[in-house]
Amino acid sequence: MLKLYHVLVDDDPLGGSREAEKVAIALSEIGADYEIIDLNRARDMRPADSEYRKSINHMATVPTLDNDGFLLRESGAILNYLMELFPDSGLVPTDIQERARAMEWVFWEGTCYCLFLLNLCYLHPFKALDPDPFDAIMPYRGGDQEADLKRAYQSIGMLFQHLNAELEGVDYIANNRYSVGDIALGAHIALAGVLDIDLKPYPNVSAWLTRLAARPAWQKEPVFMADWAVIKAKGLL
Amino acid sequence: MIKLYHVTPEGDPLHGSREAAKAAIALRETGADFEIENMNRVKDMRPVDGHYKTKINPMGTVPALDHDGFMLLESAAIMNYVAELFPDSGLLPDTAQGRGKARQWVMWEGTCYCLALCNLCMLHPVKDVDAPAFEAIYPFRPDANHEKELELAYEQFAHRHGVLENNLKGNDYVANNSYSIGDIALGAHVALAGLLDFDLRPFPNICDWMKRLEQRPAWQQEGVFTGDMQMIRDKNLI
Repeated sequence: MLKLYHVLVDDDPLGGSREAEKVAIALSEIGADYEIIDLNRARDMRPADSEYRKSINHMATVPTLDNDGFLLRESGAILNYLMELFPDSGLVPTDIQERARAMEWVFWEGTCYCLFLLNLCYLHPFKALDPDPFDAIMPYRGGDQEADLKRAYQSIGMLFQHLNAELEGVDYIANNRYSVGDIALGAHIALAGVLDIDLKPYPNVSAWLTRLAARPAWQKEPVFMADWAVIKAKGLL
Repeated sequence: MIKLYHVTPEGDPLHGSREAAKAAIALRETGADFEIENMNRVKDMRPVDGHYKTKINPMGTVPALDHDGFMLLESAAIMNYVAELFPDSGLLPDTAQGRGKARQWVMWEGTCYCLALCNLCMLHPVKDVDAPAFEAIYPFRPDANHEKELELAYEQFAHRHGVLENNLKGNDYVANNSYSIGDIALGAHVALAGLLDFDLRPFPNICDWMKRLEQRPAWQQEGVFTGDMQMIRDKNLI
Protein backbone atom coordinates (compact mmCIF):
# COMPACT_ATOMS: atom_id res chain seq x y z
CA MET A 1 0.00 0.00 0.00
CA LEU A 2 1.34 3.44 -0.95
CA LYS A 3 0.99 6.13 1.69
CA LEU A 4 1.90 9.76 1.10
CA TYR A 5 2.61 12.16 3.96
CA HIS A 6 1.36 15.55 2.81
CA VAL A 7 0.31 18.93 4.20
CA LEU A 8 -3.03 19.91 2.72
CA VAL A 9 -4.38 23.45 2.40
CA ASP A 10 -6.85 23.61 5.28
CA ASP A 11 -5.52 25.84 8.10
CA ASP A 12 -1.92 25.56 6.90
CA PRO A 13 -0.32 29.02 7.06
CA LEU A 14 1.57 28.40 3.80
CA GLY A 15 -1.42 26.94 1.98
CA GLY A 16 -0.13 23.37 1.96
CA SER A 17 3.06 21.70 0.75
CA ARG A 18 3.99 22.15 -2.90
CA GLU A 19 6.73 19.52 -2.62
CA ALA A 20 4.23 16.90 -1.47
CA GLU A 21 1.77 18.20 -4.08
CA LYS A 22 4.20 17.08 -6.80
CA VAL A 23 4.08 13.49 -5.57
CA ALA A 24 0.30 13.54 -5.12
CA ILE A 25 -0.15 14.70 -8.72
CA ALA A 26 2.23 12.00 -9.99
CA LEU A 27 0.33 9.34 -8.03
CA SER A 28 -2.98 10.53 -9.50
CA GLU A 29 -1.53 10.54 -13.01
CA ILE A 30 -0.34 6.99 -12.53
CA GLY A 31 -3.72 5.92 -11.24
CA ALA A 32 -2.04 4.21 -8.31
CA ASP A 33 -3.98 3.21 -5.25
CA TYR A 34 -2.71 5.44 -2.46
CA GLU A 35 -3.69 7.09 0.74
CA ILE A 36 -2.84 10.61 1.92
CA ILE A 37 -1.88 11.27 5.52
CA ASP A 38 -2.52 14.96 6.15
CA LEU A 39 -0.02 16.44 8.63
CA ASN A 40 -0.03 19.68 10.56
CA ARG A 41 3.32 21.53 10.43
CA ALA A 42 3.18 22.85 13.99
CA ARG A 43 1.73 19.82 15.72
CA ASP A 44 3.04 16.85 13.75
CA MET A 45 6.19 17.94 11.96
CA ARG A 46 8.09 20.41 14.14
CA PRO A 47 8.14 18.93 17.65
CA ALA A 48 11.44 17.07 18.02
CA ASP A 49 9.68 14.20 19.80
CA SER A 50 6.73 13.89 17.40
CA GLU A 51 5.80 10.49 16.07
CA TYR A 52 6.45 11.70 12.53
CA ARG A 53 10.01 12.76 13.34
CA LYS A 54 10.77 9.69 15.37
CA SER A 55 9.40 6.98 13.09
CA ILE A 56 8.79 8.40 9.63
CA ASN A 57 11.07 11.29 8.71
CA HIS A 58 13.66 12.66 11.11
CA MET A 59 14.20 15.62 8.74
CA ALA A 60 10.59 16.61 9.49
CA THR A 61 9.82 17.49 5.89
CA VAL A 62 7.12 16.36 3.51
CA PRO A 63 6.70 14.48 1.29
CA THR A 64 7.55 11.07 2.62
CA LEU A 65 6.40 8.05 0.66
CA ASP A 66 5.72 4.80 2.47
CA ASN A 67 5.56 1.79 0.19
CA ASP A 68 4.79 -1.16 2.45
CA GLY A 69 7.32 0.07 4.99
CA PHE A 70 9.94 1.32 2.55
CA LEU A 71 10.26 5.03 3.42
CA LEU A 72 11.55 7.54 0.89
CA ARG A 73 12.09 11.31 1.23
CA GLU A 74 12.80 14.10 -1.29
CA SER A 75 10.16 14.82 -3.92
CA GLY A 76 12.66 14.45 -6.79
CA ALA A 77 13.76 11.01 -5.61
CA ILE A 78 10.15 9.94 -5.04
CA LEU A 79 9.12 11.04 -8.54
CA ASN A 80 11.99 9.04 -9.98
CA TYR A 81 11.11 6.02 -7.84
CA LEU A 82 7.46 6.14 -8.92
CA MET A 83 8.54 6.29 -12.55
CA GLU A 84 10.49 3.10 -12.03
CA LEU A 85 7.71 1.44 -10.08
CA PHE A 86 5.12 2.21 -12.76
CA PRO A 87 7.03 2.12 -16.05
CA ASP A 88 3.82 2.08 -18.07
CA SER A 89 2.47 5.28 -16.53
CA GLY A 90 3.68 7.37 -19.46
CA LEU A 91 5.22 9.84 -17.01
CA VAL A 92 8.63 8.63 -17.96
CA PRO A 93 10.04 8.26 -21.44
CA THR A 94 11.51 4.84 -22.16
CA ASP A 95 14.37 6.31 -24.16
CA ILE A 96 17.36 6.94 -21.90
CA GLN A 97 18.09 10.39 -23.33
CA GLU A 98 14.49 11.52 -23.18
CA ARG A 99 14.33 10.29 -19.59
CA ALA A 100 17.50 12.25 -18.79
CA ARG A 101 15.93 15.37 -20.31
CA ALA A 102 12.86 15.01 -18.08
CA MET A 103 15.08 14.53 -15.02
CA GLU A 104 17.20 17.52 -16.03
CA TRP A 105 14.13 19.71 -15.44
CA VAL A 106 13.28 18.01 -12.17
CA PHE A 107 16.78 18.83 -10.96
CA TRP A 108 16.85 22.34 -12.40
CA GLU A 109 13.64 23.05 -10.55
CA GLY A 110 14.89 21.54 -7.29
CA THR A 111 18.29 23.22 -7.25
CA CYS A 112 18.33 26.39 -9.36
CA TYR A 113 14.73 27.58 -9.49
CA CYS A 114 14.02 26.71 -5.85
CA LEU A 115 16.96 28.73 -4.62
CA PHE A 116 15.62 31.88 -6.27
CA LEU A 117 12.10 31.02 -5.18
CA LEU A 118 13.15 30.70 -1.54
CA ASN A 119 14.95 34.04 -1.70
CA LEU A 120 11.76 35.63 -2.85
CA CYS A 121 9.65 33.78 -0.28
CA TYR A 122 12.00 34.99 2.41
CA LEU A 123 11.60 38.63 1.43
CA HIS A 124 7.96 38.59 0.38
CA PRO A 125 5.28 39.27 3.00
CA PHE A 126 4.37 35.60 2.43
CA LYS A 127 7.12 34.80 4.87
CA ALA A 128 5.30 36.63 7.64
CA LEU A 129 2.61 33.93 7.52
CA ASP A 130 4.96 31.33 8.90
CA PRO A 131 8.49 32.56 9.55
CA ASP A 132 9.76 29.26 10.95
CA PRO A 133 10.57 27.36 7.78
CA PHE A 134 12.20 30.38 6.18
CA ASP A 135 14.28 31.27 9.21
CA ALA A 136 15.54 27.71 9.22
CA ILE A 137 16.62 28.03 5.61
CA MET A 138 17.86 31.61 5.48
CA PRO A 139 19.42 32.48 8.79
CA TYR A 140 20.17 36.09 7.92
CA ARG A 141 18.17 39.14 7.02
CA GLY A 142 18.92 41.68 4.33
CA GLY A 143 19.47 45.36 5.14
CA ASP A 144 17.29 47.32 2.73
CA GLN A 145 14.36 44.95 2.46
CA GLU A 146 12.56 46.87 -0.25
CA ALA A 147 15.57 47.03 -2.57
CA ASP A 148 16.30 43.39 -1.83
CA LEU A 149 12.77 42.33 -2.69
CA LYS A 150 13.02 44.22 -5.97
CA ARG A 151 16.24 42.42 -6.83
CA ALA A 152 14.76 39.06 -5.85
CA TYR A 153 11.94 39.71 -8.36
CA GLN A 154 14.49 40.65 -11.03
CA SER A 155 16.48 37.48 -10.38
CA ILE A 156 13.52 35.13 -10.51
CA GLY A 157 12.33 37.04 -13.59
CA MET A 158 15.47 35.82 -15.38
CA LEU A 159 14.43 32.25 -14.69
CA PHE A 160 10.88 32.84 -15.90
CA GLN A 161 12.36 34.31 -19.07
CA HIS A 162 14.52 31.23 -19.49
CA LEU A 163 11.53 28.97 -18.97
CA ASN A 164 9.46 31.01 -21.38
CA ALA A 165 12.15 30.63 -24.05
CA GLU A 166 12.37 26.88 -23.42
CA LEU A 167 8.59 26.55 -23.81
CA GLU A 168 8.57 28.39 -27.15
CA GLY A 169 6.77 26.25 -29.70
CA VAL A 170 6.29 23.27 -27.37
CA ASP A 171 3.48 22.10 -25.12
CA TYR A 172 5.62 20.49 -22.41
CA ILE A 173 9.03 21.21 -20.95
CA ALA A 174 10.96 18.04 -21.81
CA ASN A 175 10.81 16.31 -25.21
CA ASN A 176 7.52 18.15 -25.84
CA ARG A 177 5.87 15.38 -23.87
CA TYR A 178 4.15 15.55 -20.50
CA SER A 179 6.45 14.16 -17.79
CA VAL A 180 7.67 14.46 -14.21
CA GLY A 181 9.55 17.56 -15.38
CA ASP A 182 6.24 19.37 -15.84
CA ILE A 183 4.97 18.17 -12.48
CA ALA A 184 8.09 19.34 -10.60
CA LEU A 185 7.99 22.75 -12.26
CA GLY A 186 4.26 23.36 -12.40
CA ALA A 187 3.70 22.85 -8.69
CA HIS A 188 6.15 25.63 -7.82
CA ILE A 189 5.40 27.95 -10.74
CA ALA A 190 1.82 28.02 -9.42
CA LEU A 191 3.17 29.91 -6.39
CA ALA A 192 3.21 32.94 -8.72
CA GLY A 193 -0.21 33.88 -7.35
CA VAL A 194 0.76 33.93 -3.71
CA LEU A 195 4.05 35.69 -4.58
CA ASP A 196 2.49 38.24 -6.95
CA ILE A 197 4.57 37.26 -9.98
CA ASP A 198 2.81 38.45 -13.10
CA LEU A 199 2.88 35.68 -15.70
CA LYS A 200 1.63 37.86 -18.56
CA PRO A 201 5.15 38.79 -19.71
CA TYR A 202 5.79 35.03 -20.07
CA PRO A 203 2.98 33.89 -22.39
CA ASN A 204 4.46 30.43 -23.01
CA VAL A 205 4.65 29.80 -19.26
CA SER A 206 1.09 31.02 -18.88
CA ALA A 207 -0.23 28.76 -21.65
CA TRP A 208 1.70 25.78 -20.30
CA LEU A 209 0.39 26.23 -16.75
CA THR A 210 -3.14 26.53 -18.14
CA ARG A 211 -2.53 23.24 -19.96
CA LEU A 212 -1.48 21.56 -16.72
CA ALA A 213 -4.45 23.02 -14.87
CA ALA A 214 -6.76 21.30 -17.36
CA ARG A 215 -5.53 17.83 -16.33
CA PRO A 216 -7.77 15.90 -13.91
CA ALA A 217 -4.76 14.91 -11.74
CA TRP A 218 -3.99 18.60 -11.14
CA GLN A 219 -7.64 19.45 -10.57
CA LYS A 220 -7.78 16.79 -7.86
CA GLU A 221 -4.87 18.36 -5.96
CA PRO A 222 -6.20 20.93 -3.48
CA VAL A 223 -2.85 22.69 -2.96
CA PHE A 224 -2.54 23.35 -6.67
CA MET A 225 -6.17 24.37 -7.06
CA ALA A 226 -5.84 26.92 -4.25
CA ASP A 227 -2.72 28.42 -5.88
CA TRP A 228 -4.41 28.38 -9.27
CA ALA A 229 -7.41 30.25 -7.86
CA VAL A 230 -5.13 32.98 -6.49
CA ILE A 231 -3.40 33.37 -9.89
CA LYS A 232 -6.75 33.78 -11.58
CA ALA A 233 -8.20 36.06 -8.90
CA LYS A 234 -5.19 38.40 -9.18
CA GLY A 235 -5.37 38.35 -12.98
CA LEU A 236 -1.77 37.21 -13.39
CA LEU A 237 -2.20 34.85 -16.35
CA MET B 1 32.17 10.77 -27.97
CA ILE B 2 31.42 12.23 -24.55
CA LYS B 3 32.52 15.78 -23.79
CA LEU B 4 32.22 17.42 -20.39
CA TYR B 5 32.24 21.19 -19.95
CA HIS B 6 34.10 21.84 -16.71
CA VAL B 7 35.97 24.58 -14.87
CA THR B 8 39.27 23.12 -13.68
CA PRO B 9 41.10 24.71 -10.72
CA GLU B 10 43.98 26.48 -12.46
CA GLY B 11 43.38 30.21 -12.60
CA ASP B 12 39.77 29.97 -11.41
CA PRO B 13 38.92 32.32 -8.50
CA LEU B 14 36.80 29.58 -6.89
CA HIS B 15 39.37 26.85 -7.64
CA GLY B 16 37.17 25.07 -10.12
CA SER B 17 33.60 23.83 -10.29
CA ARG B 18 32.44 21.25 -7.73
CA GLU B 19 29.25 20.60 -9.68
CA ALA B 20 31.25 19.69 -12.76
CA ALA B 21 33.69 17.72 -10.58
CA LYS B 22 30.76 15.43 -9.66
CA ALA B 23 30.09 14.66 -13.32
CA ALA B 24 33.81 14.15 -14.01
CA ILE B 25 34.17 11.72 -11.10
CA ALA B 26 31.07 9.76 -12.17
CA LEU B 27 32.40 9.53 -15.73
CA ARG B 28 35.79 8.31 -14.50
CA GLU B 29 34.12 5.67 -12.33
CA THR B 30 32.46 4.19 -15.41
CA GLY B 31 35.74 3.96 -17.27
CA ALA B 32 34.11 5.80 -20.17
CA ASP B 33 36.20 7.56 -22.75
CA PHE B 34 35.55 11.27 -22.38
CA GLU B 35 37.13 14.61 -22.97
CA ILE B 36 37.09 17.69 -20.73
CA GLU B 37 36.47 21.12 -22.20
CA ASN B 38 37.82 23.64 -19.74
CA MET B 39 35.80 26.86 -19.43
CA ASN B 40 36.71 30.22 -17.95
CA ARG B 41 33.88 31.67 -15.85
CA VAL B 42 34.49 35.26 -16.84
CA LYS B 43 35.50 34.90 -20.46
CA ASP B 44 33.47 31.87 -21.59
CA MET B 45 30.49 31.38 -19.27
CA ARG B 46 29.19 34.86 -18.38
CA PRO B 47 28.98 36.83 -21.63
CA VAL B 48 25.34 36.69 -22.77
CA ASP B 49 26.42 36.64 -26.41
CA GLY B 50 29.26 34.14 -25.86
CA HIS B 51 29.39 30.78 -27.61
CA TYR B 52 28.76 28.93 -24.36
CA LYS B 53 25.52 30.73 -23.44
CA THR B 54 24.16 30.88 -26.97
CA LYS B 55 25.09 27.37 -28.13
CA ILE B 56 25.79 25.12 -25.16
CA ASN B 57 23.99 26.27 -22.02
CA PRO B 58 21.76 29.35 -21.82
CA MET B 59 22.05 29.28 -18.01
CA GLY B 60 25.81 29.76 -18.27
CA THR B 61 26.56 27.07 -15.71
CA VAL B 62 28.74 23.97 -15.70
CA PRO B 63 28.59 21.05 -16.01
CA ALA B 64 27.17 20.46 -19.45
CA LEU B 65 27.51 17.05 -21.06
CA ASP B 66 27.71 16.55 -24.79
CA HIS B 67 27.15 12.94 -25.79
CA ASP B 68 27.42 12.81 -29.57
CA GLY B 69 25.39 15.99 -29.80
CA PHE B 70 22.91 15.15 -27.02
CA MET B 71 23.33 18.03 -24.57
CA LEU B 72 22.50 17.52 -20.92
CA LEU B 73 22.66 20.00 -18.02
CA GLU B 74 22.45 19.67 -14.22
CA SER B 75 25.05 17.59 -12.40
CA ALA B 76 22.45 15.30 -10.82
CA ALA B 77 20.78 14.57 -14.16
CA ILE B 78 24.19 13.94 -15.73
CA MET B 79 25.29 11.55 -12.97
CA ASN B 80 21.99 9.73 -13.25
CA TYR B 81 22.32 9.52 -17.03
CA VAL B 82 25.89 8.27 -16.85
CA ALA B 83 24.88 5.65 -14.25
CA GLU B 84 22.05 4.44 -16.51
CA LEU B 85 24.28 4.50 -19.58
CA PHE B 86 26.83 2.28 -17.82
CA PRO B 87 24.75 -0.01 -15.61
CA ASP B 88 27.77 -2.16 -14.77
CA SER B 89 29.53 0.80 -13.18
CA GLY B 90 27.66 0.15 -9.92
CA LEU B 91 26.99 3.89 -9.56
CA LEU B 92 23.34 3.03 -8.97
CA PRO B 93 22.09 -0.09 -7.18
CA ASP B 94 20.17 -2.72 -9.13
CA THR B 95 16.93 -2.49 -7.16
CA ALA B 96 14.32 0.28 -7.45
CA GLN B 97 14.42 0.83 -3.68
CA GLY B 98 18.21 0.98 -3.64
CA ARG B 99 18.19 3.48 -6.49
CA GLY B 100 15.49 5.44 -4.66
CA LYS B 101 17.71 5.80 -1.59
CA ALA B 102 20.78 6.79 -3.63
CA ARG B 103 18.78 9.47 -5.44
CA GLN B 104 17.25 10.62 -2.15
CA TRP B 105 20.74 11.66 -1.04
CA VAL B 106 21.56 13.22 -4.40
CA MET B 107 18.41 15.33 -4.04
CA TRP B 108 19.06 16.14 -0.38
CA GLU B 109 22.49 17.39 -1.33
CA GLY B 110 21.23 19.45 -4.27
CA THR B 111 18.38 21.05 -2.37
CA CYS B 112 18.78 21.03 1.41
CA TYR B 113 22.55 20.79 1.89
CA CYS B 114 23.35 23.15 -0.98
CA LEU B 115 21.08 25.85 0.38
CA ALA B 116 23.01 25.95 3.65
CA LEU B 117 26.25 25.80 1.68
CA CYS B 118 25.23 28.72 -0.56
CA ASN B 119 24.19 30.75 2.48
CA LEU B 120 27.59 30.22 4.02
CA CYS B 121 29.43 30.95 0.77
CA MET B 122 27.53 34.22 0.46
CA LEU B 123 28.61 35.35 3.92
CA HIS B 124 32.09 33.84 4.02
CA PRO B 125 35.03 35.82 2.64
CA VAL B 126 35.14 33.24 -0.17
CA LYS B 127 32.32 35.29 -1.66
CA ASP B 128 34.68 38.21 -2.23
CA VAL B 129 36.74 35.98 -4.48
CA ASP B 130 34.01 35.88 -7.10
CA ALA B 131 31.08 38.01 -6.06
CA PRO B 132 28.98 37.86 -9.27
CA ALA B 133 28.45 34.12 -8.94
CA PHE B 134 26.90 34.53 -5.51
CA GLU B 135 25.07 37.73 -6.22
CA ALA B 136 23.19 36.05 -9.02
CA ILE B 137 21.84 33.61 -6.46
CA TYR B 138 21.40 35.98 -3.53
CA PRO B 139 20.22 39.30 -4.79
CA PHE B 140 20.42 40.90 -1.39
CA ARG B 141 23.35 41.81 0.79
CA PRO B 142 23.40 41.00 4.43
CA ASP B 143 24.78 44.32 5.60
CA ALA B 144 23.38 44.23 9.08
CA ASN B 145 24.85 41.98 11.79
CA HIS B 146 27.21 40.33 9.38
CA GLU B 147 29.08 38.54 12.11
CA LYS B 148 25.97 37.17 13.76
CA GLU B 149 24.67 36.02 10.39
CA LEU B 150 27.88 34.22 9.56
CA GLU B 151 27.65 32.47 12.89
CA LEU B 152 24.08 31.39 12.12
CA ALA B 153 25.11 30.19 8.68
CA TYR B 154 27.80 28.03 10.30
CA GLU B 155 25.18 26.65 12.68
CA GLN B 156 22.96 25.70 9.74
CA PHE B 157 25.89 24.18 7.92
CA ALA B 158 26.87 22.19 11.01
CA HIS B 159 23.29 20.97 11.33
CA ARG B 160 23.45 19.54 7.79
CA HIS B 161 26.73 17.83 8.64
CA GLY B 162 25.07 16.40 11.73
CA VAL B 163 22.44 14.80 9.50
CA LEU B 164 25.13 13.32 7.29
CA GLU B 165 27.19 12.19 10.28
CA ASN B 166 24.22 10.28 11.72
CA ASN B 167 23.44 8.77 8.37
CA LEU B 168 27.02 7.48 8.04
CA LYS B 169 26.97 5.88 11.48
CA GLY B 170 27.90 2.25 10.92
CA ASN B 171 27.87 2.76 7.15
CA ASP B 172 30.74 3.13 4.72
CA TYR B 173 28.62 5.00 2.18
CA VAL B 174 25.59 7.32 2.30
CA ALA B 175 22.98 5.05 0.71
CA ASN B 176 22.47 1.30 1.08
CA ASN B 177 26.00 1.10 2.53
CA SER B 178 27.16 0.86 -1.05
CA TYR B 179 29.09 3.42 -3.12
CA SER B 180 26.82 5.39 -5.46
CA ILE B 181 26.13 8.76 -7.07
CA GLY B 182 24.88 9.83 -3.62
CA ASP B 183 28.48 9.73 -2.35
CA ILE B 184 29.74 11.64 -5.36
CA ALA B 185 27.11 14.38 -5.01
CA LEU B 186 27.89 14.86 -1.33
CA GLY B 187 31.65 14.26 -1.27
CA ALA B 188 32.42 16.85 -3.92
CA HIS B 189 30.71 19.56 -1.85
CA VAL B 190 31.74 18.41 1.63
CA ALA B 191 35.34 18.87 0.43
CA LEU B 192 34.64 22.62 0.34
CA ALA B 193 35.21 22.51 4.11
CA GLY B 194 38.79 23.65 3.47
CA LEU B 195 37.88 26.77 1.54
CA LEU B 196 35.09 27.56 4.01
CA ASP B 197 37.16 26.93 7.17
CA PHE B 198 34.69 24.37 8.41
CA ASP B 199 36.17 21.89 10.87
CA LEU B 200 35.25 18.31 9.98
CA ARG B 201 36.87 16.77 13.07
CA PRO B 202 33.70 16.89 15.19
CA PHE B 203 32.20 14.59 12.54
CA PRO B 204 34.38 11.46 12.65
CA ASN B 205 32.10 9.38 10.41
CA ILE B 206 32.28 12.07 7.74
CA CYS B 207 36.08 12.22 8.08
CA ASP B 208 36.39 8.44 7.61
CA TRP B 209 34.03 8.51 4.67
CA MET B 210 35.94 11.34 2.97
CA LYS B 211 39.19 9.41 3.40
CA ARG B 212 37.45 6.41 1.85
CA LEU B 213 36.41 8.47 -1.19
CA GLU B 214 39.90 9.93 -1.39
CA GLN B 215 41.33 6.47 -2.00
CA ARG B 216 39.38 5.97 -5.17
CA PRO B 217 41.33 6.60 -8.38
CA ALA B 218 38.38 8.45 -9.92
CA TRP B 219 38.59 11.01 -7.10
CA GLN B 220 42.39 11.18 -7.14
CA GLN B 221 42.23 12.16 -10.80
CA GLU B 222 39.89 15.08 -10.14
CA GLY B 223 41.93 18.26 -9.63
CA VAL B 224 39.10 20.22 -8.01
CA PHE B 225 38.70 17.55 -5.34
CA THR B 226 42.41 16.99 -4.68
CA GLY B 227 42.88 20.76 -4.38
CA ASP B 228 40.07 20.96 -1.84
CA MET B 229 41.43 18.02 0.15
CA GLN B 230 44.86 19.61 0.19
CA MET B 231 43.37 22.74 1.73
CA ILE B 232 41.48 20.67 4.30
CA ARG B 233 44.77 19.05 5.33
CA ASP B 234 46.75 22.30 5.25
CA LYS B 235 44.21 23.84 7.61
CA ASN B 236 44.13 20.69 9.71
CA LEU B 237 40.36 20.28 9.48
CA ILE B 238 40.17 16.50 9.10
